[in-house]
Amino acid sequence: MTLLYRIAGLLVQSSVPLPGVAAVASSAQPPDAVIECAPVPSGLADPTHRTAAWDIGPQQFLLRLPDGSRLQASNGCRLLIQPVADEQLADILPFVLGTGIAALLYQRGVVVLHASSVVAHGKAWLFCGHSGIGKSTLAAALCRAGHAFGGDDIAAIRLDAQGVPCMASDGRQLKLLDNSIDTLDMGDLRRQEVRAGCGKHYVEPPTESSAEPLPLGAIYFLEDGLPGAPLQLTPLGLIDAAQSLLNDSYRPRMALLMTGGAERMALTTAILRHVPAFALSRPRDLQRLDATVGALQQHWLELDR
Amino acid sequence: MTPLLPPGLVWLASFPKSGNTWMRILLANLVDDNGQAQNINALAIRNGIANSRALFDFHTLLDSSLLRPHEIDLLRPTVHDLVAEQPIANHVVKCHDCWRELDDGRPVLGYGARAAIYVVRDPRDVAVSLAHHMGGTPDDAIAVMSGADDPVQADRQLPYRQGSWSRHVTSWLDQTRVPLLCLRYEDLLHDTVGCLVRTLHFLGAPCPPERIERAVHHASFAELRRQEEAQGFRERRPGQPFFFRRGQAGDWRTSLSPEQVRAIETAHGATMRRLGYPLSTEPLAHRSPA
Repeated sequence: MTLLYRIAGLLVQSSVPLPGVAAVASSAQPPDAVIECAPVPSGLADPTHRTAAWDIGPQQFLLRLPDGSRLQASNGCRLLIQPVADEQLADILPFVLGTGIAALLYQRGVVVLHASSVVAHGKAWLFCGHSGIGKSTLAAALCRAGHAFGGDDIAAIRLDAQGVPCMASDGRQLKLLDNSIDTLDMGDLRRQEVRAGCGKHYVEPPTESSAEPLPLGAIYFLEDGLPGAPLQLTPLGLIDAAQSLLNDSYRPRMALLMTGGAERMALTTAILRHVPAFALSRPRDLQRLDATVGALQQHWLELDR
Repeated sequence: MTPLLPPGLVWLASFPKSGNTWMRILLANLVDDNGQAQNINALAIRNGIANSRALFDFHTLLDSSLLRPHEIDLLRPTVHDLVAEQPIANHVVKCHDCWRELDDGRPVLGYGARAAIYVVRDPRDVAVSLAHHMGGTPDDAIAVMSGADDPVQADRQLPYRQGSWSRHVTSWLDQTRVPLLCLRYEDLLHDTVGCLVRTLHFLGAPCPPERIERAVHHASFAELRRQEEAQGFRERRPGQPFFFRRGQAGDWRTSLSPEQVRAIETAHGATMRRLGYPLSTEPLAHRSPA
């Protein structure tokens, strides 16, 4: 079996069906990366960094999961999976699609942000923040308001030929908790559970995502507002924005260890030269999502002038 | 500026609503003695909580929201040991976990902490405070305090094990892995300076008396309440009027029914006696001061 997927701008060929991502019918171009089940060593022979859970080496990343399964990303183009037992394969694929794909992207020199995104005015608008801050829910709410879906969880940023930072297209679905799905009235778009018992489901985006890379409109770093405080959009200066980009990299420790400091600085500078960054502080209240959506839509009109 | 506390991770542990936040604010005012009261929403001691999802994900490179509680347990010792190795000044970390060891003998909280401060409070007052915090009744709180060992799903943090109030207390008092100082909230109220002197001696951080007195002044209940009224408080739950509610001991006498008091003392009487909390059923003549 060979299946093709578009994931974070990569054409990925996989020998196993991948959940939560639409398969591509066919493609004339060769795949950028291959995912397959194969033996994975217990550790890298010569890691530059090692913990009990993972090894990092030059163009190598190896992850040891709690159940004994392993995955290994090599040279930005190969992702091997060894489940502890065949029947455990489906259980570990969410980590293949998260940490595994991120490892490939870092090996390819891509900026990888922990972000959801939507498309408006021909641009991608990114929402960064730590797990649980509401990135996916906000993106879903904006899609429900009519904006095209950009991506969830990972935003892969590359510089185009003119040095303009662009977000790669991504065919993966949203991952939402049940209470968000219900609040957004997206029950009919709910699909399989991401991982048995985790409480999150794949959700088909209500709008289609762009097939082409898109320039970035702005990057928003989400924060929880104090109880009762109004929504606040605060422009970030260069230093704060650069620090926030690092903090909100996807798996920032991977970013630090797999990307050279000079390279990372150059990419960060390139992004912030073209893209404004803002802190978005808003109340943690699903019932006030619409107010946040409205504020962002107004903000995009102002930025687009 | 030289950090006040010697290097090394210190757990600031307690059952919920037992004074952990106030102790953290006192310590923050001690370590950052700049002449002003610490901003309760931006404390100098800001090392998160033991069941921090962000720290776990940072060190494991995994999305913890997709892991099951037992899988998280297997990885937590490694994470905590990695965190303990970080050269963080005044490295005090809030913890609501009970002390627990995995089947393989590893402590869930790892091996890296150099000390722990355990703050304990009369469970009858915990019940009153917990009820207000939960937006529930004292009976709801008493049920939580008698709870089983199932993982508690913390708001946007990792699930963790709390156990009953008694189990939580005895697990920390009886563990032998980490040197422990146990402080009663009531003693902290009655003699804040004295308790801080004991704490600093325990942590190996001598401190001039005037600095301790300033910290106590800057962390007074009146100051905390003033700040919360002026700017809010991050840890206040939606719908909760105030996090810093009364800051008193003995509220249970007017807030709990005799049946509720009996329920708590039946479930936790042995541990209460161990800590010197007299039961309401004991003759007055035999009660030692709280």
